[in-house]
Amino acid sequence: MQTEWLLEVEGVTVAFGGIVAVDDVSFRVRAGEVLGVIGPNGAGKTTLFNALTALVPLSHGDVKLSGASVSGWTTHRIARAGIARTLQTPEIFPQITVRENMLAAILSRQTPWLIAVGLGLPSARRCEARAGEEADRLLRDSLLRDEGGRLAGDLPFGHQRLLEIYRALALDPRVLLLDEPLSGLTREEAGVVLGLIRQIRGAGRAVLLVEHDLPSVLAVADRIVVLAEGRLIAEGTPAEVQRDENVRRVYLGREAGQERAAGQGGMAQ
Amino acid sequence: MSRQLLGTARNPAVQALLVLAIPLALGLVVGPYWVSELTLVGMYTLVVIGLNLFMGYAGQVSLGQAGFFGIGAYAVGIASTHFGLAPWIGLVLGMVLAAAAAWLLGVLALHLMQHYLALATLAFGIIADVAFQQLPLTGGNSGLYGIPAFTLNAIGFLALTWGAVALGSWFTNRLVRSGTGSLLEAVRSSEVATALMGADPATVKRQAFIVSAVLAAAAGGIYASWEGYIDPTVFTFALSINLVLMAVVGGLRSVVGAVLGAAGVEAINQILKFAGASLAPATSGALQLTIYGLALVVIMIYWPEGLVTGLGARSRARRTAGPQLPLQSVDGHERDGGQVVDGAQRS
Amino acid sequence: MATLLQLVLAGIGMGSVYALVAIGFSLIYKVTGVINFAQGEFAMIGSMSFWLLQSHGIPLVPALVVAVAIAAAVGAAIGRFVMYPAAQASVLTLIFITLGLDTALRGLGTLVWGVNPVAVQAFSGNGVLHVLGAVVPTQNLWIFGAVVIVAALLYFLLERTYFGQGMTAAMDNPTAARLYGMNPLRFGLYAWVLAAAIGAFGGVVFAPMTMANTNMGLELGLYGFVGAILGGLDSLPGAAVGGIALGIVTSLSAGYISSDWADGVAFAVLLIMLLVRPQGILGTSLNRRV
Ligand SMILES: Nc1ncnc2c1ncn2[C@@H]1O[C@H](COP(=O)(O)OP(=O)(O)OP(=O)(O)O)[C@@H](O)[C@H]1O
Ligand SMILES: [Mg+2]
Repeated sequence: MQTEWLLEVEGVTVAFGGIVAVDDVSFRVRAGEVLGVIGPNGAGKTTLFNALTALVPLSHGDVKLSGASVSGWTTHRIARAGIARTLQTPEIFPQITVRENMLAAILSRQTPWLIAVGLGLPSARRCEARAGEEADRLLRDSLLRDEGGRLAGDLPFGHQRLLEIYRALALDPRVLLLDEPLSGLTREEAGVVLGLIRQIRGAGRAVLLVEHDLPSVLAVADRIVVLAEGRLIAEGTPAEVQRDENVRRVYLGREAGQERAAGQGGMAQ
Repeated sequence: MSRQLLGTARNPAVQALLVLAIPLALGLVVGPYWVSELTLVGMYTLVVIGLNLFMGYAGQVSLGQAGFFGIGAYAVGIASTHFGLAPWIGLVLGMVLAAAAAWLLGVLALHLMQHYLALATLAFGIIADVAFQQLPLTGGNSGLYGIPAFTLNAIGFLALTWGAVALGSWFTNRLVRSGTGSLLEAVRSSEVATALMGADPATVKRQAFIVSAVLAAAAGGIYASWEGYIDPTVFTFALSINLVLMAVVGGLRSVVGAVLGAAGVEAINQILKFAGASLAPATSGALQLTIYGLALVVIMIYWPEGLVTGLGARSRARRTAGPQLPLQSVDGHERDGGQVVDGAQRS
Repeated sequence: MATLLQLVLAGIGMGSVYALVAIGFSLIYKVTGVINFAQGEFAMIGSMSFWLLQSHGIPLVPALVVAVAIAAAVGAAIGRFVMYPAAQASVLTLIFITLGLDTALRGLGTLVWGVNPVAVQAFSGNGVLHVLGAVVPTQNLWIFGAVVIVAALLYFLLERTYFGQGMTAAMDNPTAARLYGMNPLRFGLYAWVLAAAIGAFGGVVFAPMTMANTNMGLELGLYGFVGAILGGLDSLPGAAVGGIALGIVTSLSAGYISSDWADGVAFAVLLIMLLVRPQGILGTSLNRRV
């Protein structure tokens, strides 16, 4: 089935016992689009991402990727289908090198047979060699090009975040979910990430960006959805959302004003 | 120069050769008693290498490895004494059977978190032990006698055992140093992050579990044929714990650690046997338990990576750490064992 | 029919012992997140201390109190000298540590009390009760009573005292408890002491039913786990229910199949439970972390 929408979120609801963390949220994303997802702390942004990647079960609703429902799928199957994601607290693999982190990500798609790898069967060797080349290529084009041999746990925090983003990109995703990718980064690093986001969009993929740093979201997003207490309270272009009454009341009025005053690039939180 | 030497020593094939050559050379100069000790240590080492892969690299716990060891042993015993098959056929059958059992247990239990998985493997080990006591072909509590040997002389067995260890170490070393080895580390480090990259952590864990089961069964098969006699008192929970102890003492992430762990625990055994000659056997057994237990506690508190890996990791960190200090835990979130998606979800 | 009743009643007696071990096990798990493989050894320590005291002519009640106190002291020592330094250890490491404790305590027990099984006198003689044709040793009443007493005391302690409320808070939400200035390590220590005391109490009341020996802890501990998991690891009432249910199941399988397979049946039940309902009968969540 052809559809112009890459990702469709339909009435997604996530309840934890009595708490409804995400309440009947619907929106759609086209290929080549950056969708900002904003909202105050505890609004349900991370939980929404968790629902899209099956880290928590949906109580109601449906998620479609290119018109085909992926709800009920396991996390790794969704990832293979093309939804990649980073976590609010980066989860790099600290005890192996940066390059090995990339290798793990690249090989995840095929998950070679351990037996074949240990015995060095030709198929496994080819697979490993190709992964090695790809890791080198991805690293060469990245900000971490000189750090391939370092233990990932030894990287400064900002570079750990970057590594997680590059790792997600190794999946060659159609939809990339970024959960506060700028928090904890220096202004320079944040610039790199924003550049990356534009590049990904240019390649015809969609990016969902959860971020507290509003100026950055306003600058890079094509459209924005606003969550508050689990509900979607506004949706539109950055300009529309900034004008929206509801949004001003629950969110922008309180936080964005202060941030704007704090100046460009001021990090929320 | 020394760096080059170190590089050569880390080559899987070179390590495998050393693993075969050193015990063999030792075996040729020492007396028969020590040859048999070396052979026994080799069998334990084979199991421990499998445990290394499953516990050290995939980050899981198996408390039922004696069950797989027993499956290998009984396969050889039953195939040869009941069906007159050559022991090596029994050995292969045992490895296949252990792989099947591990696969099934993996399908059933590997989606569980670490401590539930530990209990599931424990349950498997105990059920296997009961089965060894009760099934019609196993000879019950009196066991199986007259299991034929692969080869006749002791040195032959020594070579066979350590040859198997060499193969196992070659296999594991190649695996853990490959890109796929990084995937194992990914599973150990964070199953959530691994799944988000598109790999099914349960599949990876299951494969590592199957490899560990096959190595244990191989060791058990060799044991049955070497000893010529097996009974259920061997394949108990106590053996599983002993094997875990060997694995963690040396360090869960190195072949050298596996050899030293197995040898070290067996050495304590022997020392206590000599030292305890004047004591009542029960007392020396109790002393042994006490020392094992306390050793496990102390090592796990102060060197949770094991003695060999712990020291190795320190030197590796010294070599690789750049100007920055290692950033252990970014924001106080636990890194080991915990699978934290974000702060909100833990509360 | 009489056999069935007989088996069920015997199962409840044995299951009550498992329940006491399981309660201690759940308590430590709830408060500290540690799976304590050494839990059965507290019962062993209780049994053997009680025997030693009794054989020196010390009357029932003081002997019982001292035996429980000895085990509680051991629990306190572990909670303080092992669990404090291991506070940051991973799940895997903690499993190995408590396995090591189990092994060490069994060895130490044998060094102190020897290997030979010992006979402990029943609390109120070797009498039996006849219930609808089934025969029940009076000691079974003591055992069952012990579960009731422990359950009631625990309930009172946790629900009705200030100390207990702190403990409950620490169990339900360790992070918040820390924010309110409670020291989780301290509550962990109390959990070890309580669990050791409860386990030892189980060991004391159980001792007359068997030939007590220093190897009994391992098996009791394993059955205690199975009971705790059946009932739900994070539920104290669940642990009691699970322990008793396990006692009935093993008693029935011993009666109708064969006692040789009892271990196999118990652990097959565990495997099945892990498969179909890993959170147990009364447990709530398997894991809060995704
Ligand atoms: N696993 C869980 N169990 C129970 N409640 C949860 C769970 N995960 C999230 N919640 C609750 O759901 C609500 C939404 O949380 P969520 O983390 O999605 O917010 P957020 O928008 O990402 O906030 P932040 O900006 O602080 O990251 C919160 O009230 C949180 O406590
Ligand atoms: Mg969030």
